[in-house]
Amino acid sequence: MAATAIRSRGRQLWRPRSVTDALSVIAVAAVAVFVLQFAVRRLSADATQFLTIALNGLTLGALYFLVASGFTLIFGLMRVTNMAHGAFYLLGGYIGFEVSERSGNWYLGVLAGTVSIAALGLGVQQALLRRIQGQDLREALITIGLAIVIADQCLAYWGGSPRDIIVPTGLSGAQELGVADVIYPTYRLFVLALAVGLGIGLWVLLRHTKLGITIRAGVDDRRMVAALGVNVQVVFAIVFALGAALVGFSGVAGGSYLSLAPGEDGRYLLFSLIVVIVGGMGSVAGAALGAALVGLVDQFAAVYVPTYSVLLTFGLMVLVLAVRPEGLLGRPA
Amino acid sequence: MTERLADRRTLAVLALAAFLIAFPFFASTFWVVSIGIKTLWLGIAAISLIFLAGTVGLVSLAQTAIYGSAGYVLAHLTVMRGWDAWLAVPVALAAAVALAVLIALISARSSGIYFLMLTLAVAVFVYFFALQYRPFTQGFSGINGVEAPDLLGLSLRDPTNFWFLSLGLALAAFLAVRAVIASPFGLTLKGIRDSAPRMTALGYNVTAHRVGAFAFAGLVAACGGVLAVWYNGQISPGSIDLTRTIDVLVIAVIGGLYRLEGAWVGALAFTLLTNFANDYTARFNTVIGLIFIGVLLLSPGGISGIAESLARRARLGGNIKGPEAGRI
Amino acid sequence: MGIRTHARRRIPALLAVLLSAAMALAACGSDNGDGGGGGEEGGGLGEESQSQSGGGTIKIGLLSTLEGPFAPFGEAANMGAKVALIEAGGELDGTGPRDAVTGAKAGGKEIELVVESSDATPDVAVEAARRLVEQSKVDAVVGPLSGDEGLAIKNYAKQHLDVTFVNGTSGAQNTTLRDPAPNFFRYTTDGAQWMAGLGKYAAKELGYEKVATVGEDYSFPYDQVGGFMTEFCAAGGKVPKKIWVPIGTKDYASFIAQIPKDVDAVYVALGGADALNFTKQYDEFTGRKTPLLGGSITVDGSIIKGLKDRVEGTVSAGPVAVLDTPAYQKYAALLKQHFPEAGPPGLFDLGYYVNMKSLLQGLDDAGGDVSGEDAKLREALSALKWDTPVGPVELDENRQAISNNYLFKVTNGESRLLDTVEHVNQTLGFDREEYIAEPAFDRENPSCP
Repeated sequence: MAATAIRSRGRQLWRPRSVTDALSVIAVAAVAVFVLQFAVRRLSADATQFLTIALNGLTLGALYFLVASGFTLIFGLMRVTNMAHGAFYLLGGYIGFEVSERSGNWYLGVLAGTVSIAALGLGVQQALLRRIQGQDLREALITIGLAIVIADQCLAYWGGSPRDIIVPTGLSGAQELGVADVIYPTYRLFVLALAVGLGIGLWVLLRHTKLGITIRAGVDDRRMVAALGVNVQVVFAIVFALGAALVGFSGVAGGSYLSLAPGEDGRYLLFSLIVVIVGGMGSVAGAALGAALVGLVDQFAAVYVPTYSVLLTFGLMVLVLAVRPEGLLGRPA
Repeated sequence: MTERLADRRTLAVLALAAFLIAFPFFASTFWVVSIGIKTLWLGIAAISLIFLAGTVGLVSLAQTAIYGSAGYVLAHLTVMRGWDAWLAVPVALAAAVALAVLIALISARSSGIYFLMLTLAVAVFVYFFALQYRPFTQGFSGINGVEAPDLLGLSLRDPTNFWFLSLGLALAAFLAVRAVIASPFGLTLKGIRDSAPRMTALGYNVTAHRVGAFAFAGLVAACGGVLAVWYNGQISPGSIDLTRTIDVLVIAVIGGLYRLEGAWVGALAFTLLTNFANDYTARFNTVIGLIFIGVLLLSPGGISGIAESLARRARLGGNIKGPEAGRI
Repeated sequence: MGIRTHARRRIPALLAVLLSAAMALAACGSDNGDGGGGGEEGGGLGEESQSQSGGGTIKIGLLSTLEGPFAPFGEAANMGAKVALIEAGGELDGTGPRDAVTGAKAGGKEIELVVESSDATPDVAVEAARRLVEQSKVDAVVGPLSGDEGLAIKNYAKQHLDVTFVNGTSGAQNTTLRDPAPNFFRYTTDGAQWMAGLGKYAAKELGYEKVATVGEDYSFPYDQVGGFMTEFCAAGGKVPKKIWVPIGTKDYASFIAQIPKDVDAVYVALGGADALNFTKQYDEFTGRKTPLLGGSITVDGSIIKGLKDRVEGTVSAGPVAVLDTPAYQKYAALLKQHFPEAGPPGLFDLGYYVNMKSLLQGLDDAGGDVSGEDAKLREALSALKWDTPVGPVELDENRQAISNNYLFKVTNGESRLLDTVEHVNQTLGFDREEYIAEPAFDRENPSCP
């Protein structure tokens, strides 16, 4: 089966190892063909609707990327699955809401949400997780407990009514995109731009800064990095704080176009999980790819097969797992 | 000394047995039903999780989805299609086991944290499926009017009869799990838990064993699901949402993740807490969360672990190490 | 480390003894009821009749959603119920939702209030009802709050014919329309009744010919859309597209994209956060070119401020409106006096007020007699007719309310009363047999494309 390998620059990236693998490839190919013909048909039938939905998928994916990027960074380096990630999102959003309401300044709210959750994350990491470092499962379970407590406290303080963060006037309203009569809300485009910006920022951080190189090395081989004299604890603390900051930020960004309410924490945790399962744990590029895919599938399914939309997203996850269990851009465990 | 120990333990077990058998005859219906029976079936669900955690080394958050699917199939067949309950029960159990097998196959190449996340994602998907696929599940409203049938001429809607059925099933689950753990199959599973590559090298089919373990755990959980839907008289997506999914984990951890009876200890603690904490504070979720964190940090053996180490300390009088505060 | 497989493994002695002792003490301590008796129809475990609290006290259980996302509605609901008790001579123990009321009297007996809460899921609602009926041994239950809880509670009620159940605000049609429970009384109207008048108004007064509908995919919106369409289609209107949004959706962008471009209006049966999200996104995507018609909780008092000017001009219908009548003003004043943080009167507090007060009046009429499966009380409740703050109410043969419905329009950020539709029954004025023979409201029914 070596002949049927996928190569890039002469190196073999992937080779089918069994009948199951071969079947998976066929399945993927079939799906790809179906998706293409579907896209072409819909595009010609009603371009405005198709493009609007595609944009909806991408902007939703952008939000998922903002949320999942912190999650995957923390996992990639520290092997900590922060199940309180959704709760951080919600809390960050609520704090941003309070501050922007009281101060009248949305940007201040964003700052407040980001900084407060970064501080919380750092505190949690130092006080709770550091004690049981290395015990992945136990850490994950503790973060579940934390999620329960945070969610309940949010309910106690902000109650069950949903909260809506007001977007500054400069970012509200809609834009004409000049293609197929599509009119699209400005804020959503802004979120898309934010996600792209963040992606680039993280890429620069990981590839071209000393911290980034340390992080990548740590993802590859933690013990070696420690043996080389790097203060791993400091790096861990920074990364956790950074991951928490990202999710706090996305809480405010997300809460500005989708309201904040109890239950959102579970939702964003779930989507973070799906995005990193599809894209690959520890890979920021994987998170971007996974988020885009999940967002697109979610929106198209919601319109064209609403009763089964969940099944399609699930199917996406299963398909990826069948072909590449470590995720599309993940590294084998 | 050991013989006196054995005698004392046997005595305690007999006392417990007598208490449980006499329970519905002296306790009020509320206690039998809302506390007792609920503890029994929640414990059955929890023990399926504990079995997988201890023997296979995998914490599965999909057990709620599995027992929920058994409940849904049973409810759908009996209420919406008018099937006889005893014909529907095997189908429901089979459906749940099929789901468990599917999950095992999907996650065949994952372990540890990946596995936890995967099962969580599956559980939430099953929830959304129940919510959205109205033709089968009736969506948000759920399926109402599920009645416990008659068994050997006795009405299972009678709390006393249902208590004994639940007690019997709980005991069967406990004994079955214990038997499987002690069997060659169980030993192989533990070998796989400790080192899958080694077992593969020795010629064992790791995936097949994992699937088998899941199928068994799924069957146990499914029995709990059947009891649950008869107990509630209905099933809705709210019965298997994220909160309920996490509840089973909380029960297992608080009770003691590595002790079989921890399932019922945890279930009892949980049932008592959720029924009575309301009278004292609206923030009982915070309380549960804090207890959960506390147990994980300080006593991974849960409540049964604490009781056991107290007993051991009392026996040996003095300096001994508590239960291994180590690997989960 | 792992599960020990020692053959002699036994349950730790200390643990077993402690648990047994604890449970024995607790279980023996509570009231005794033997576990015998067969079950009646309806789900769950059966239970025999129990002797109710004798002597001069009547226990009433109050069930609402004090947990989860519906908690604010539950808080409002409890305030309304307590106002009814205050009118019966009671005094608040405190202003919190779980605080009881002492000193209220009905039928010559003292009323003891027991507060329980659920989280809008049927399971938890039934468990809460169990605690009220089986542990606290209440004589009557007022609740639940949400539609699907109501269906589950109705089934539970059927097995406890010795207890009287009066609705809270649950508005699922089938709680009383089909297969009712003889001991479940609902003095508030259902989700379809809440739409009475709107369909006709849209067709005749506003001249709409084509309307698209948007609602969440579960029973309450089905009833709302169904109620609207029954009138609208009968008046010649057409509904070319019914959009059902999966529950929990926050992002309506793709659903808005499906609305046909040539409709005269969009009927939106969303509430709370969803209404906020939807109207915001609707504005962004369509520039509000097509007017909206609102469901009963879309422009409810509790969120109208949050909606700002996005719903200006929207017409909606519901059972509650700001009225000039003395009864309404008196109620509003009492509510404000005893609960200063409460908002203006709304759906939930008024609904619970009406139902609780009906129960108290029934108790008065029956002389406080709750013996023999509440026979006298049931008779009194079935025959009860009175003028509530939102119009007169009486019950039909399924113990379902017949009362007024109101049409209103959002003008300058407030709901202004447009019209009153009187004496709305559960079949919306149509022939009862025909109405029931139609399939129940769901995604497809009714249909008039």
